[in-house]
Amino acid sequence: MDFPLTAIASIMHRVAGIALFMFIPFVLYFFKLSLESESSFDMAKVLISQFHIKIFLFLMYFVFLYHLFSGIKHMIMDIGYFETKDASRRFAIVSLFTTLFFYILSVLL
Amino acid sequence: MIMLSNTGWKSGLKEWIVQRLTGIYITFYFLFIVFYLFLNGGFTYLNWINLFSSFYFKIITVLFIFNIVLHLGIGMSIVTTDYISSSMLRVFVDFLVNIFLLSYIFFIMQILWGFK
Repeated sequence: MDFPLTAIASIMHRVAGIALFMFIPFVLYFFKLSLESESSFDMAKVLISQFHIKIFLFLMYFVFLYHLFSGIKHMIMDIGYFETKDASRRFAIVSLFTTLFFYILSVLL
Repeated sequence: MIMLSNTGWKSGLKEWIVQRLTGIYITFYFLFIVFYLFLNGGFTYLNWINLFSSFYFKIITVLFIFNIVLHLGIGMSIVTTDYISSSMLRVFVDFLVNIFLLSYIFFIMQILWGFK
C-alpha cells in the first residue's frame, strides 16, 4: 500500500479533525476554570504549565494549526488553483511547512 | 440503481458551503482572540474577563459554538459515512456525536452567563 502524499495529507486532515473533536471537553473545562474566578484562572494557568499537560497542549495546538492550514489549502484548491497532480503535491508540502513555520514562530513568541 | 445527482435535495452542496463558511468563522474567531490579547498586553485575568464580560462577545461566542456544531457535525458525518460500513453503527455514532455537540451549546452558555 503506497499512498500518494496528497492522500496522506487528506487523511491527516480528517484524523486531526477527529482529534480536535475529542479535545473539546478539555477546552471547555479550562474555559470554565478561566472565567469562574481569579483564583480558578490562576489554577488553570498552573495546570497548563504542568509538564504533561503542556506537552499535550502543544501537540493539540500543532494539530489545530495543521487542520487550519490544510483547510485553507482545501479552499484555495476549491477556487481552482494548484489542482494538477504535481501542483497539489507541492501544495501539500507547502501547507505542511507553513504549519511548521507558524507553529515554531508562535511557540517561540 | 442509485442515481446520484449534484443538484436538488441531498446533493451535499449545502453541507459543502456550510463547512467552508463555518471554517472561516472559526478561523476569524480565534484570530480575533489572539489579536485582542496581543494588543492588550497578553493573557491576563483582567483582559480575559473583560473580553468575555462583553455582551456582544458572548453572542459572538455562542454563534461560534453554533459554527463548531455545524462544522463538526458535517465533518464527523463525512468521516463516519466513509469508514463505518454498517449503517446501524454509523447512525448511532452520528447520533452520539450530535448529542455531544449540542450539549456544548448549553455548556458554553452556562459558562458565559454563569460567572460573576
